[in-house]
Amino acid sequence: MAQGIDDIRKSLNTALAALDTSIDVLSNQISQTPNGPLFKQLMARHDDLVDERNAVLAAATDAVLQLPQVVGAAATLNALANQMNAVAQNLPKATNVINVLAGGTSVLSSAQHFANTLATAQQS
Amino acid sequence: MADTAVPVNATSSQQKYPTTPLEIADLLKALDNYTAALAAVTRAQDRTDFDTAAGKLSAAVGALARSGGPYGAAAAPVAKASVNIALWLVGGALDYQRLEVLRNSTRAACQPIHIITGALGVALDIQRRHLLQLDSDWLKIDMIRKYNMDRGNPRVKDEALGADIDNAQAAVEKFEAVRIATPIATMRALSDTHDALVLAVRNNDGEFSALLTNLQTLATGAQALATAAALPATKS
Repeated sequence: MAQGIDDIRKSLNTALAALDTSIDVLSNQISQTPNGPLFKQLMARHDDLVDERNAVLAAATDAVLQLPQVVGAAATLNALANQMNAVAQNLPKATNVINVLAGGTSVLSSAQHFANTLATAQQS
Repeated sequence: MADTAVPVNATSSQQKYPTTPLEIADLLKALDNYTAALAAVTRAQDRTDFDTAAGKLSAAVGALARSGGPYGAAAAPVAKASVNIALWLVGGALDYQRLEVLRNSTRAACQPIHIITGALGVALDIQRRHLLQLDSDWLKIDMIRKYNMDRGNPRVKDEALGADIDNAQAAVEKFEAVRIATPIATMRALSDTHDALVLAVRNNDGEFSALLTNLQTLATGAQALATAAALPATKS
C-alpha cells in the first residue's frame, strides 16, 4: 500500500524539480525587470509554468486520494466505526450487569464473613 | 515600477488550482467517525496528564480553525481525532467487555489508519507546496521587485524604501513558516499515536508515556501548521 503512495510522491518530486528551477530563475529575473514588454513576456511565461505546476500538483492529489487501498481504508474505517457505535449502545447494560454482580459478590462476601464470625463466637 | 503590494499572479493561481477538498474531507471524516466511536465505546473520563496534553493540542486546533488558511479546515478534524484517541484512557474504569471491543476495534483499524494518514500526509503536503509557490512569487515578484524599482527612483523617499524592506521581511517570514510546516510528519505522529493505543489496549498495562510523547509531537506539528496558515498570507 504505502508503496503506491510513495511512488506517487517520488514521481511528483521528479516532475516538480525542473519546473521549480525554471520558475525560480524566471521569478528572479522578473524581480529586476521594470514594467514594459519584457516584463509582460516574462510574466506570461511564468504564469504558464505555474499553471503547469498546479496541474501536476492536482494530478498527484487525485492519484493519491483515488488509490484503491485508500478508498478501501476509508470504507473499512467507516464500517468499523458504525459497528463500534452499535456495540457501544449495548455496553452500558453490560456494565450495569457487572455492577450488580460486583454488588452481589460484596453481599455474599459479607454474609460469609458474618457466618465465619458467628461460627467463631459459637466455638469460644 | 511595481506600484502595488497585491501579488501579480497569486490570486489567479489560487483560482486556477483545482483542489479536491471533498476527497480530503472524506478521509478526515472517516478518521473522525472512528475516533468518535472509540470515545463512545470507552465512555472516557478525564485524566490529569492527558488533559494537559490534550489541552495544548486543543489550543493548536483552535488556532488552526481560526486561521482560515489552507490547513485550517483540513487539519482541525485530524487534531480533534487525536484528542479523541487520547480520551479512551479511562484506566480501571474499563470493564472487560469494553476492553475487548477496544482491543478488536483498534486492531482492525490499524492498517486503515496507516493508509489514511499516509495519504493525508501527502495530500496536505501538496497543498503546502502550492502555498509555498504563491509565497515565493509574492516575495520576489511583488516585494523584492517593488524595492528594486523604488531604489532606482530618485523621487521615492527613504521611508518608502524602509517600508519596502519591512514588507519583504514579512514575506520572508511567511514563506519560512510555510516551508517548515510538515503535514507528513504530523500525519505520521497521528498514526504513531494510534499504534501506541493499539499496544496499550492489547497489553492493558497502563503504559501511557509513548502516547503522551506522540500527542506532544502532534501538538507541535499542528501548531506549526497553524502558524504557517495564520501569518499574513498572500492577498487574495
